Amino acid sequence: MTTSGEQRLEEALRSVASEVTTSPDAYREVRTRWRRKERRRRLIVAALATAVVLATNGIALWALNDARPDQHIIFIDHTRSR
Amino acid sequence: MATVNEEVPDTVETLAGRDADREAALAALFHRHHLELVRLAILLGAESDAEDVVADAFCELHRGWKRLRSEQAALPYLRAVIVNRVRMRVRHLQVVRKHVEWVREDVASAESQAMVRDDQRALVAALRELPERQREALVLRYWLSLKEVEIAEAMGISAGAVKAHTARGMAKLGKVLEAQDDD
Repeated sequence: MTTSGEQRLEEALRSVASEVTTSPDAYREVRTRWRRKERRRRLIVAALATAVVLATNGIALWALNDARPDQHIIFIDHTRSR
Repeated sequence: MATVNEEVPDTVETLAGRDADREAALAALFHRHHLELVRLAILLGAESDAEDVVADAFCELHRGWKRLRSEQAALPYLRAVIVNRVRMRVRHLQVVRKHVEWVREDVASAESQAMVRDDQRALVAALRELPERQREALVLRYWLSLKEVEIAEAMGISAGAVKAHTARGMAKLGKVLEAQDDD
């Protein structure tokens, strides 16, 4: 394609693009959207962290509850077996 | 290499400060480039979803702000996201349109179309019919006047492939222009 063809394509693209306008509230809408997404992301992270802490606490309590009083389930006391 | 966030300990104050900096940088970027990016999305074929595509790109940039190499990398990142999203949207519409009757949306409203000459409209319509990579390469080159390296970054391909797509696309459009000249 010749340079004039390239120029015609540039002009056509410029001409079509120049007719495009955006909504005046665009920034406010986008900011609301990214803030909402950020809030949701943080909420999900917080919920997951809470779930992990609760689950580990639950497992630990269950393990402690199931063990005999003289049995150490976290630290093994090697001195006792001798 | 400069990073968007300097390495400082995470405290409530520094995190709030970073959030404020990010918002300010995004606001500046938005006001400077939003219209241009919506136009890019329209020319790539996003039609009525152009603003939505650009809004999504800004949300993605907001989420990935910390991973950005520098603030200068933000605009190329937005362009790459927009190119990808429009490509996905066009593919989705191609599938939908196989199954439902579809009335073509034009680039802009009928009123504004009156401002665009017939030959220009035909040329842009022919551009729309090109394979997606060729269309993307031509729009990025002839409307945004990007260099091959920048186009390659936006499209996620090599500079050599950009050259090939541009040449093929221009060859096809050349035929449309020749037909216009004959009329």
